[in-house]
This record gives sequence, C-alpha cells and structure tokens, in this order.
Amino acid sequence: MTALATALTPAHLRFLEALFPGEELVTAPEAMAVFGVDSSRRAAMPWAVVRPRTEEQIVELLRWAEVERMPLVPRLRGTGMSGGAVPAFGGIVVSTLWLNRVLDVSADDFAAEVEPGVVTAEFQALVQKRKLFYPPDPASLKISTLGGNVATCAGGMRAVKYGVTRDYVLGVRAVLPGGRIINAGGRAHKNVVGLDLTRLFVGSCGTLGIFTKLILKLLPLPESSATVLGAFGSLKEALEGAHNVFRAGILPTALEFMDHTACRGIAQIRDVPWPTGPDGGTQAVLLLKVDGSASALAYELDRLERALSQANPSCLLKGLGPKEEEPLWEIRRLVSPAAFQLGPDKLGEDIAVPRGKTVEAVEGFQALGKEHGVHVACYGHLGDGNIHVNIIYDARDEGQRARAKACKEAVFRLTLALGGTMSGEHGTGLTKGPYVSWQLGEEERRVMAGIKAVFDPVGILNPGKGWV
Amino acid sequence: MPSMPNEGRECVLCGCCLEDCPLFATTGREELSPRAKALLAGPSKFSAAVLDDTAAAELAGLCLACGRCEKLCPQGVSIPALIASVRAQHPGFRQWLWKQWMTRLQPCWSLATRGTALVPQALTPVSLGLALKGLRGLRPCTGLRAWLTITKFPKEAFRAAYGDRPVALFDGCVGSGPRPIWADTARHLLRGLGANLADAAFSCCGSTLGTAGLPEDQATARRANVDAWRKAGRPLVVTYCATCRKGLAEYAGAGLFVDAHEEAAWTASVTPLAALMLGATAKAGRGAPAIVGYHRPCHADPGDADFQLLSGLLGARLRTPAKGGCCGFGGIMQLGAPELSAQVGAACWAGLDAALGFSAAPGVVPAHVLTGCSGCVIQLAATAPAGAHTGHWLEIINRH
Repeated sequence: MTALATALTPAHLRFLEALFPGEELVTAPEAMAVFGVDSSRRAAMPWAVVRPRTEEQIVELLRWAEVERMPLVPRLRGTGMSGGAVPAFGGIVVSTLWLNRVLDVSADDFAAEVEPGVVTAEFQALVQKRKLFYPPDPASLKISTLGGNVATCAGGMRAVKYGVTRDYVLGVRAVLPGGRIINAGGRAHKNVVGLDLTRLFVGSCGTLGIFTKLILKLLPLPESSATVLGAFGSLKEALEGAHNVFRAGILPTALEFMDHTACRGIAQIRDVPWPTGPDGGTQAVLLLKVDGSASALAYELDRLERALSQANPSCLLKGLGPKEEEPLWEIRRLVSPAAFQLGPDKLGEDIAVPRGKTVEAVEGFQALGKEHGVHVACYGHLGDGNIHVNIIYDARDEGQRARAKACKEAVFRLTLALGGTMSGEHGTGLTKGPYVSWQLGEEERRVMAGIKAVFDPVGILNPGKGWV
Repeated sequence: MPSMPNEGRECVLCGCCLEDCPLFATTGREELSPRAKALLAGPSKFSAAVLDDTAAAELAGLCLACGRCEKLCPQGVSIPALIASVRAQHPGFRQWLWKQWMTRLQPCWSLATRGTALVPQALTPVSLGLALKGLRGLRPCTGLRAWLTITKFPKEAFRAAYGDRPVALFDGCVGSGPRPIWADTARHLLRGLGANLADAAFSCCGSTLGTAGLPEDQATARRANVDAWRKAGRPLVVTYCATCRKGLAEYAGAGLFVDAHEEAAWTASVTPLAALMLGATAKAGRGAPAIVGYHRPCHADPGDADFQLLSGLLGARLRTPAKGGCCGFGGIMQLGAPELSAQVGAACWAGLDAALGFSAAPGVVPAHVLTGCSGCVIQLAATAPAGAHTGHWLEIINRH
C-alpha cells in the first residue's frame, strides 16, 4: 500500500474551495478545532473540514481523495466515546451534519429513509407521532445522530429486549473511495440475497464508506411503559433482584444498574431518591423498564415489584408513563458525565461479558480498582452483560496515570478471560485500537483487512481506526 | 485511594449542551456550538502556535448568551460567563461600541426613538444596523394597542404576602428609555394591587454590560442599584423584563452585600411583576386578536410567571410553541454578527408561525406576539415578518 498524503498542498486546497463554496469549507484552525475532538477528549487538528450538502459533492470528493491518497475522517456530532471521529492520523474531516432530512416514514412498510445527520431523539419523536417506534436509545440520543449511531452500532438501554442499532438497519446507501455508490439492503424486513453488506457498514466507524442514506426498521409503538428504580444495600442483593426478574419470566425493556461509586458521582450533581449515608448507604441501584399495553402493564409492574422485593431493596420507586419515568431515566443518563465529579480524568470502557458472568465481572473490576488505587465506577446494561467501567483518576499525577492504564488493561484481560469483548457499543476507535489484537486472532484480522481493501483499496477512510 | 478535589467547572466535551443551543440548531455549524466555545475558551487541547488568541476569542464570542447550555451542562460550565471573561481579556472595538450604545446612547433613547430616521446613515457603523432597526421598532407609535382591561386585582393575596412593605419598580434601560409606557402601566398595576410605591434611583441592571465583557461597568451599575435599594428602605424590587430579573438575581454571590443576611433579603426582594398579578382577571375589548402568541424569553424565571399570568388572563386565546425558540437577540453579538442573530430570529418566528398559523391563514389569524423581556422585544420587532405585531405584554393592558 502506497503512503497516504501527509499534508494539504495549495492545489488540494484549490480543489476543495471549488467543490465546497462558502461555509462548506472550513480552514481556520479556531473554527476547525471542535471538529478535531469528540467525547473521548482526544484531540487532533484537521487539515481541513468540508460540509457537503449533496451526495454529488461526496462522490466528487471520494473520487479525488482516492487519486490523491487523501485521508478522510467522516464525522457527525462527535459524541463518540472512543475517539473514532478524531483525525489523529491527519486528514480532512467530512461532516455530513447538513445531510439531515427525514426522506420518508412509512407506516405500511414499517420503514423510514433518513439522511445521516438526523438527531436520533428528534427522529424518535417524529415517528412516535405516527404511533411508530425506533427502539435504539444510546445515552446520547438527544445529541447524537442516526448516521453516527449506525457508524458505531450504538447500543443503549433498551437493547436487552429490542437489540441494538444493527437490528434496525435495513439498508445503507454509501459512497465508497473512488466515488462508487453502493446500495446495501433495502426496505424489505427479510433479505437473504447475497452477503449482508448492510451489517458490514454498521459499526464500521467510517472506515468503509460515507453514508448518504439509511433505511431503518420501525416497530409499532408500545402503548405505554413503566419504570421501577430499586436501591440495594449490597451488590449481591441487586444482582439477585435482577436474576429474580428474569426467573419470573419477565423480559424488561431495559435493565440498568449502577454501583456505589457511580451512585456517589450522581449524588454530587443532583438530588437522588435513594438512601445516602456516610457508610455509603446504597451499594447498588437497579433501574428497570417494561412496556406494552396499558392493561398488561399494571400486572407486569406488580410482578416486577414482587420479584425485586425478594432481594430486600432499601427503596423501590415506580413511574407509570413517560412523564413519571423520565426523571428516573435522566439520572441514569447523567452517570457518565457525573463520573468527573470523582476526578478530573477518566477512561470510559464499555466491556460486555456473557450474561451469566456479570456478577463475577463487576466484583472483579471493583477489586481491580482497589488493587490499582483508582476509582472504578461500574454501571450500565446489566440485562445484556454490557458493563460500563469508568476508571477515574488525575492525569496530572504520573503515578495515577500509569495505574489507570494498568487497571484498564487488567479490566480487558479479565473480560477476555470471562469470554467477553472489550467493547459492547463504543467501538475501538483510538482508545481501544491498540488492544484489538488481544481479542481478535491473526486470521480474523487478516480477513477484516481484506474486506476493508475491497471497499477502500488505498486506505483513505478513517485511517488508523478499527481493527489494525 | 487518592483524594481528588472537585476541579469542576471544566468542559469534558461530553456534548450534552448540543441538545439546546439556538445558534447551533439554526446554523448546523459545529464551530458555533457551546462545546466549541468551551474548547476555545478553556484550557487548550491544541498548542498556542496553532490557535490565534484573537481569532479564537472572536469566534467564541459568537454567543447569544441565552444560557440554555448552562442548564444542560453536568459540569456546571456557564458558557456566557466564560465568554464574558474572554471578552474582558480581549477588549476591542465591538466592546467599545457596545459601551457607547449602552451608556452614551441610552439616556438619549427616548429622543433617538423618535429620531432614528434622522441618524445619518454615514455615521452609523454597518453592524449597528440590526440594533438600530430594533430601536426603530420601539418608536412610541409602533407599540401594541391596548385591548385588555384588568377587572380584578389579586389585592388580598398581595396584602397577605407583602402588607405595607414598600415596593420599588425596576424599570431597566428600555422602560426608562424608549418605552416609558411600560413603566406607566407597571405602576398602574402596582397601584391596582394596593402596593405602597417607593421611589428608588435604579440604573441599568448590568447584565448586558457583564456579558459584553465590561465587568467594571457591570460592577458600578450593580453597586449603584444596591445603594439605591438600601436608600429606599430595602423595598420589594419589581421587574418586568426577564433579563433584568435574571441580572438582579445574579447579584447574589457577587460580593455586593454587607452580609449573608442582606444578600438573602435582596434575593427574596427581586420579584417579577407578573408573579404579583397571578390570580387577576381581565376582559378583552373589541377588536382584540382572536389568537395571541407568547414568546418565552430564555432568561424567564423558572416558573415563567409572565406565561402563567397571561394564560390566566387570556385563556385559550394564548398559544406558545411547544419547544420555545430563542429570539436570537444576543446583546453584543448584534454588533459582531447581525446575520447570525437574524437567522436565529427567523427560526424563532417560524416556530411561532407553526404554533399560531398566521401565514397559513393571514386574514383570520393575526401575527400578534407578546413577551416579557426588553431584549426579546427589540429582536422580535427587528426580525418580525411584515404585518406582525409584537411587544411587551404590558402594552396590551388598558390603563383606564
């Protein structure tokens, strides 16, 4: 593979100026700065930023970029947690935020066609008006986009019942290097003709093509939902409570948990409904949602309460309907930023283990935190074994920095020993890139590299990210 | 375990603020988002050689100071405060101009409103254009017609809460300048409540001076107001501009009071006029618009007393967009980037139109929009579509 371009030449700049007039091209470093960061807090200055308004511009750009061997870093809202959108290896940032139309919502097909820049929560609200439901709900849903969610295969809290973004992408239209346009999948809910190229795009972190259209699957909107929050005096009791729920034959829409460190972080930024005290008070909190028809929900809620009560909760709060439920879920969405209350820096990992290994994993991570002398907050999607492990430390202290890194690596090793994966939903990006070979074998990586080469033979799309 | 003091107040780039920034929502330009501003104004992730201080300060300064992002920030970062400090560190032409606008022009506003047409365009800085347009919108003759008569004042509730306590009206720059009718009507309402009116020589609330990056001028204005309040016997301070109310509430914690007791007394004193009027009833006169819009100011008090009062007085006649948009006034940003301010204003009117439907049925539904903030009144007047009527809710109240 020939080396990629290492900087923009005046000729390159002239080309970009012609293709992206006015505000569509950004070259002032002050204006480009924000396009060089994401929620991972990694940073690198782009060489330039382009904001196409049409697919034709993207086709032209990719035709040119392949010839010029110009690295391109696709971007939407930059809310990813692993640095996938950070141009750490140089290149032009391609923001498709201005491709943000909802092209079609069909209540007959249970399908929608959208451009990548549509904000996820706004799309959900739009289809909801037609009694339709788009289930994926990453914690960032109010600020992230459908295109970004598809690029990272964003998960979310409802995954335990409804699955992740991957399960709702019927088709993808993307522009490939060289300016080729590919239409993967379609509007049919079932499709087994050929290899599943759609699935290859989902979670590819912008390394295979630039999306211009997504076809999404919709469900009928559940009539109502209900939420229960339970606080427990020990982690064991909380996990026992969760176990009871499944044993009772209930499949919750969401089953989230927060350990005592996560609870402490939230308590520092807002009033919390659970008991707090000098001895820690609450050791773990469970948050469960069920949905369905209004009449069935009352019965379901009752069963849920009974199942949790057997595990001796110190408080049980109920919310029926979105208005009562929202404050309970807002607490959960604040966990990640609240972790900064415990220290100025954090490593936010999102491992997933086989569901039966969750207790072992959480207890193991907490022990690793103590062993390495750093705060470890565990929270997340208990229902599907996807645990967020936040390692909180102060990067100005060299000792802490080294211990945090050692802790992160120990967390990965334990996860893999339990048969899990280093990333359940954030993707590998920059922060986990160097560890991919711990999980994927040589042959698997060779096959992936071969697939990448078919889409992007020169390697211009988001270089350095993924599975190298 | 290491003990880690809460460093706090530092942007962690989580992006929670992206949910509600009127400037970002309208333009889709990420470099105008609150996160971009925090990145430029905070500790740099890029080397000093890469970013130019002045250019960074100028870009970060493109902020409407609406404060919506602050409410969403889990770290408690206030972008308007951050920008104010950046402006204070980078004094320049625009700040100077705004100071002229606020401090020199203000006493002449009542004159200027009658005579803006006479201001020689050659002497008018181009970027003052929109602000001047707003001022034209505030000429006495272009205010709203009064069509609502208060039929019952909540006198008992007022008496029970405040008794004979002296009450001073805080008129702010617009009420004491180009719109004396606001001050007159506000006094009429206070008299109707049976309030014991006191005089206090208040000046500008200082909030606009603060966001413009003039902390010393802001401090002077604030001290003058606290002195005036003391001299008047620490009366109830009644406001009818949302930004003034917010500005006055922010005196707490600014080191202006002798002790915590006096500070608490001040905080308890600052009250929106509408809150005192809750429970009033009114009758709409002939020719009253069938549908009336309400624009919620970004700086409205948490309970939005203006909206509560108007809902009570106007009932089903009152409509407001479910997701209230920012008008885009933006204070000093008017001078630096009037086109951005106008863009946000247009989006705001589009939201009002969606709720009221005046462009779909122009003959039936009037574009009649009320608000409760002088900045919003200026901006709504400046960006209003042809034929629209907009003003402070005080303007529709009959004084007889």
